[in-house]
Amino acid sequence: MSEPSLAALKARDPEALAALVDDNMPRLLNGALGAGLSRADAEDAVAETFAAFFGQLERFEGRSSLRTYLFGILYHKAHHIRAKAAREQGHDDIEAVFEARFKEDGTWGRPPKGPEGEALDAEARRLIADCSEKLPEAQKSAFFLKESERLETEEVCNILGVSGTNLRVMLHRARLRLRECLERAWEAGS
Amino acid sequence: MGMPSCREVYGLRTSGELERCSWWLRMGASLHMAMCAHCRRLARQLEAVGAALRGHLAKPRGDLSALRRRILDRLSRG
Repeated sequence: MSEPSLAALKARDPEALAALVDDNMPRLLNGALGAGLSRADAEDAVAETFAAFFGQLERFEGRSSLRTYLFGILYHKAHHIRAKAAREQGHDDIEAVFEARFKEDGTWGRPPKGPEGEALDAEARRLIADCSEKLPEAQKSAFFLKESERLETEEVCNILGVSGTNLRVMLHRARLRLRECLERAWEAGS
Repeated sequence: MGMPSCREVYGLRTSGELERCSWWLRMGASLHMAMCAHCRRLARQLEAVGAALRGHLAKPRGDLSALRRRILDRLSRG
Protein backbone atom coordinates (compact mmCIF):
# COMPACT_ATOMS: atom_id res chain seq x y z
CA MET A 1 0.00 0.00 0.00
CA SER A 2 1.37 3.46 -0.87
CA GLU A 3 1.87 5.93 1.95
CA PRO A 4 -0.78 8.65 2.31
CA SER A 5 0.48 12.15 1.49
CA LEU A 6 1.78 14.30 4.31
CA ALA A 7 -0.52 17.13 3.23
CA ALA A 8 -3.56 14.86 3.55
CA LEU A 9 -2.40 13.65 6.97
CA LYS A 10 -1.80 17.20 8.19
CA ALA A 11 -5.32 18.10 7.04
CA ARG A 12 -6.56 15.03 9.00
CA ASP A 13 -8.21 13.71 5.88
CA PRO A 14 -10.25 10.68 7.10
CA GLU A 15 -9.18 8.47 4.19
CA ALA A 16 -5.50 9.30 4.73
CA LEU A 17 -5.80 8.61 8.47
CA ALA A 18 -7.50 5.27 7.81
CA ALA A 19 -4.86 4.31 5.24
CA LEU A 20 -2.04 5.16 7.63
CA VAL A 21 -3.62 3.22 10.49
CA ASP A 22 -4.65 0.21 8.40
CA ASP A 23 -1.21 -0.17 6.89
CA ASN A 24 0.80 0.31 10.06
CA MET A 25 -1.30 -0.67 13.08
CA PRO A 26 -0.93 -4.49 12.68
CA ARG A 27 2.83 -4.15 12.12
CA LEU A 28 3.26 -1.89 15.12
CA LEU A 29 1.21 -4.21 17.30
CA ASN A 30 3.37 -7.18 16.28
CA GLY A 31 6.45 -5.08 17.03
CA ALA A 32 5.15 -4.11 20.46
CA LEU A 33 4.21 -7.70 21.31
CA GLY A 34 7.62 -8.85 20.08
CA ALA A 35 9.21 -6.30 22.41
CA GLY A 36 7.66 -8.17 25.31
CA LEU A 37 4.68 -5.95 26.08
CA SER A 38 1.41 -7.54 27.19
CA ARG A 39 -1.50 -7.33 24.77
CA ALA A 40 -3.10 -4.43 26.66
CA ASP A 41 0.19 -2.53 26.99
CA ALA A 42 1.03 -3.21 23.35
CA GLU A 43 -2.32 -1.78 22.22
CA ASP A 44 -1.77 1.29 24.41
CA ALA A 45 1.74 1.74 23.02
CA VAL A 46 0.45 1.53 19.45
CA ALA A 47 -2.35 4.03 20.12
CA GLU A 48 0.13 6.39 21.78
CA THR A 49 2.55 5.98 18.89
CA PHE A 50 -0.04 7.29 16.42
CA ALA A 51 -0.99 10.12 18.78
CA ALA A 52 2.69 11.05 19.23
CA PHE A 53 3.24 10.91 15.48
CA PHE A 54 0.48 13.45 14.91
CA GLY A 55 1.95 15.60 17.67
CA GLN A 56 5.24 15.64 15.75
CA LEU A 57 3.81 15.76 12.26
CA GLU A 58 4.80 19.39 11.62
CA ARG A 59 8.42 18.43 12.30
CA PHE A 60 8.37 15.25 10.19
CA GLU A 61 10.41 15.95 7.08
CA GLY A 62 9.97 12.65 5.32
CA ARG A 63 13.65 11.69 5.51
CA SER A 64 12.62 8.22 6.62
CA SER A 65 9.49 6.36 5.57
CA LEU A 66 6.39 6.82 7.72
CA ARG A 67 6.70 3.19 8.78
CA THR A 68 10.28 3.57 9.98
CA TYR A 69 9.38 6.80 11.76
CA LEU A 70 6.45 5.12 13.51
CA PHE A 71 8.62 2.20 14.61
CA GLY A 72 11.13 4.72 15.95
CA ILE A 73 8.43 6.28 18.13
CA LEU A 74 7.13 2.88 19.25
CA TYR A 75 10.54 1.56 20.30
CA HIS A 76 11.33 4.88 21.95
CA LYS A 77 8.24 4.26 24.06
CA ALA A 78 9.26 0.66 24.66
CA HIS A 79 12.63 2.04 25.75
CA HIS A 80 13.43 -0.99 27.87
CA ILE A 81 14.09 -2.82 24.61
CA ARG A 82 16.93 -0.48 23.67
CA ALA A 83 18.51 -1.04 27.07
CA LYS A 84 18.17 -4.77 26.58
CA ALA A 85 19.65 -4.54 23.09
CA ALA A 86 22.64 -2.73 24.56
CA ARG A 87 23.07 -5.41 27.23
CA GLU A 88 22.63 -8.31 24.84
CA GLN A 89 25.53 -7.23 22.68
CA GLY A 90 27.90 -8.95 25.05
CA HIS A 91 28.19 -12.60 25.89
CA ASP A 92 25.26 -14.90 25.18
CA ASP A 93 25.03 -18.42 26.62
CA ILE A 94 23.77 -19.77 23.34
CA GLU A 95 27.20 -19.16 21.78
CA ALA A 96 28.88 -21.23 24.51
CA VAL A 97 26.26 -23.97 24.17
CA PHE A 98 26.96 -24.15 20.49
CA GLU A 99 30.73 -23.85 20.82
CA ALA A 100 30.68 -26.95 23.04
CA ARG A 101 29.53 -28.98 20.03
CA PHE A 102 32.96 -28.76 18.44
CA LYS A 103 35.96 -30.91 19.28
CA GLU A 104 39.34 -29.37 19.95
CA ASP A 105 40.47 -29.89 16.35
CA GLY A 106 37.46 -27.84 15.12
CA THR A 107 35.44 -30.79 13.78
CA TRP A 108 31.98 -31.64 15.04
CA GLY A 109 31.86 -33.49 18.36
CA ARG A 110 28.07 -33.31 18.49
CA PRO A 111 26.89 -32.54 14.97
CA PRO A 112 23.54 -30.88 14.33
CA LYS A 113 20.63 -33.32 14.25
CA GLY A 114 17.22 -33.19 12.69
CA PRO A 115 15.99 -32.78 9.15
CA GLU A 116 17.81 -30.59 6.66
CA GLY A 117 14.67 -28.54 6.70
CA GLU A 118 14.29 -26.64 3.44
CA ALA A 119 10.62 -26.54 4.41
CA LEU A 120 9.78 -27.19 8.03
CA ASP A 121 6.60 -29.13 8.63
CA ALA A 122 3.60 -27.78 10.52
CA GLU A 123 4.74 -29.34 13.80
CA ALA A 124 8.18 -27.74 13.53
CA ARG A 125 6.61 -24.36 12.75
CA ARG A 126 4.40 -24.73 15.83
CA LEU A 127 7.48 -25.54 17.91
CA ILE A 128 9.22 -22.46 16.54
CA ALA A 129 6.24 -20.34 17.56
CA ASP A 130 6.56 -21.80 21.09
CA CYS A 131 10.34 -21.48 21.20
CA SER A 132 10.18 -17.88 19.95
CA GLU A 133 8.40 -16.95 23.19
CA LYS A 134 11.65 -17.73 25.00
CA LEU A 135 13.82 -15.56 22.74
CA PRO A 136 15.36 -12.51 24.39
CA GLU A 137 13.11 -9.57 23.53
CA ALA A 138 15.83 -7.49 21.89
CA GLN A 139 16.78 -10.40 19.62
CA LYS A 140 13.14 -10.88 18.71
CA SER A 141 12.71 -7.17 18.02
CA ALA A 142 15.85 -7.09 15.87
CA PHE A 143 14.63 -10.10 13.93
CA PHE A 144 11.15 -8.67 13.51
CA LEU A 145 12.33 -5.29 12.22
CA LYS A 146 15.03 -6.63 9.91
CA GLU A 147 13.54 -9.89 8.65
CA SER A 148 9.76 -9.57 8.96
CA GLU A 149 9.43 -5.83 8.29
CA ARG A 150 12.51 -5.79 6.07
CA LEU A 151 13.66 -2.39 7.26
CA GLU A 152 17.14 -1.33 6.15
CA THR A 153 20.01 -2.33 8.44
CA GLU A 154 20.76 1.32 9.20
CA GLU A 155 17.14 1.98 10.14
CA VAL A 156 17.01 -1.00 12.50
CA CYS A 157 20.33 0.03 14.06
CA ASN A 158 18.98 3.54 14.67
CA ILE A 159 15.75 2.25 16.16
CA LEU A 160 17.44 -0.24 18.50
CA GLY A 161 20.60 1.76 19.14
CA VAL A 162 23.02 -0.99 18.06
CA SER A 163 25.81 -1.21 15.48
CA GLY A 164 25.51 -3.14 12.22
CA THR A 165 27.86 -5.83 13.52
CA ASN A 166 25.86 -6.23 16.70
CA LEU A 167 22.63 -6.43 14.74
CA ARG A 168 24.09 -9.28 12.68
CA VAL A 169 25.13 -11.08 15.86
CA MET A 170 21.65 -10.63 17.38
CA LEU A 171 19.97 -12.04 14.27
CA HIS A 172 22.33 -14.99 14.24
CA ARG A 173 21.81 -15.71 17.93
CA ALA A 174 18.03 -15.67 17.46
CA ARG A 175 18.28 -18.31 14.73
CA LEU A 176 20.78 -20.35 16.69
CA ARG A 177 18.67 -20.30 19.84
CA LEU A 178 15.55 -21.40 17.95
CA ARG A 179 17.45 -24.17 16.21
CA GLU A 180 18.72 -25.50 19.54
CA CYS A 181 15.20 -25.36 20.96
CA LEU A 182 13.89 -27.24 17.94
CA GLU A 183 16.63 -29.85 18.16
CA ARG A 184 15.76 -30.59 21.78
CA ALA A 185 12.18 -31.22 20.66
CA TRP A 186 13.37 -33.44 17.80
CA GLU A 187 15.56 -35.41 20.18
CA ALA A 188 12.75 -35.78 22.69
CA GLY A 189 10.42 -37.01 19.97
CA SER A 190 12.83 -39.48 18.37
CA MET B 1 46.63 -23.06 3.39
CA GLY B 2 44.46 -26.09 4.34
CA MET B 3 40.71 -26.26 4.25
CA PRO B 4 39.05 -24.43 7.18
CA SER B 5 37.59 -26.63 9.93
CA CYS B 6 33.88 -26.95 10.73
CA ARG B 7 34.26 -24.48 13.60
CA GLU B 8 36.12 -21.99 11.40
CA VAL B 9 33.54 -22.24 8.62
CA TYR B 10 30.75 -21.78 11.16
CA GLY B 11 32.49 -18.74 12.64
CA LEU B 12 33.19 -17.16 9.26
CA ARG B 13 29.66 -17.65 8.00
CA THR B 14 27.87 -16.46 11.12
CA SER B 15 30.04 -13.41 11.77
CA GLY B 16 29.66 -12.22 8.18
CA GLU B 17 33.43 -12.17 7.82
CA LEU B 18 33.39 -14.68 5.02
CA GLU B 19 32.50 -12.02 2.45
CA ARG B 20 35.58 -10.03 3.43
CA CYS B 21 37.97 -12.99 3.42
CA SER B 22 40.57 -13.83 0.79
CA TRP B 23 39.50 -15.66 -2.33
CA TRP B 24 41.37 -18.75 -1.12
CA LEU B 25 39.59 -18.86 2.19
CA ARG B 26 36.19 -18.37 0.54
CA MET B 27 37.00 -21.22 -1.87
CA GLY B 28 38.10 -23.36 1.05
CA ALA B 29 34.87 -22.65 2.91
CA SER B 30 32.76 -23.43 -0.18
CA LEU B 31 34.63 -26.68 -0.70
CA HIS B 32 34.15 -27.54 2.96
CA MET B 33 30.41 -26.92 2.69
CA ALA B 34 30.22 -29.12 -0.40
CA MET B 35 31.96 -31.95 1.44
CA CYS B 36 30.55 -31.67 4.98
CA ALA B 37 26.97 -32.87 5.42
CA HIS B 38 26.85 -31.62 9.03
CA CYS B 39 27.77 -28.04 8.11
CA ARG B 40 25.34 -28.10 5.21
CA ARG B 41 22.59 -29.34 7.48
CA LEU B 42 23.27 -26.59 10.01
CA ALA B 43 23.24 -23.87 7.33
CA ARG B 44 19.94 -25.12 5.90
CA GLN B 45 18.35 -25.50 9.32
CA LEU B 46 19.32 -21.96 10.32
CA GLU B 47 17.84 -20.67 7.09
CA ALA B 48 14.61 -22.67 7.53
CA VAL B 49 14.26 -21.62 11.16
CA GLY B 50 14.74 -17.98 10.14
CA ALA B 51 12.05 -18.25 7.47
CA ALA B 52 9.61 -19.83 9.93
CA LEU B 53 10.28 -17.16 12.57
CA ARG B 54 9.88 -14.38 10.00
CA GLY B 55 6.44 -15.73 9.13
CA HIS B 56 5.44 -16.26 12.75
CA LEU B 57 6.36 -12.74 13.88
CA ALA B 58 4.51 -11.15 10.96
CA LYS B 59 1.27 -13.09 11.57
CA PRO B 60 -1.81 -10.95 12.34
CA ARG B 61 -2.73 -11.09 16.03
CA GLY B 62 -6.45 -11.42 16.60
CA ASP B 63 -9.22 -8.92 16.11
CA LEU B 64 -7.90 -5.40 15.67
CA SER B 65 -11.17 -3.61 14.95
CA ALA B 66 -11.59 -2.14 18.45
CA LEU B 67 -8.02 -0.83 18.48
CA ARG B 68 -8.49 0.61 14.99
CA ARG B 69 -11.65 2.45 16.08
CA ARG B 70 -9.95 3.76 19.20
CA ILE B 71 -6.98 5.12 17.25
CA LEU B 72 -9.06 6.70 14.48
CA ASP B 73 -11.43 8.30 17.00
CA ARG B 74 -8.51 9.83 18.84
CA LEU B 75 -6.79 11.05 15.67
CA SER B 76 -9.90 12.55 14.15
CA ARG B 77 -10.56 14.52 17.35
CA GLY B 78 -7.17 16.17 16.83
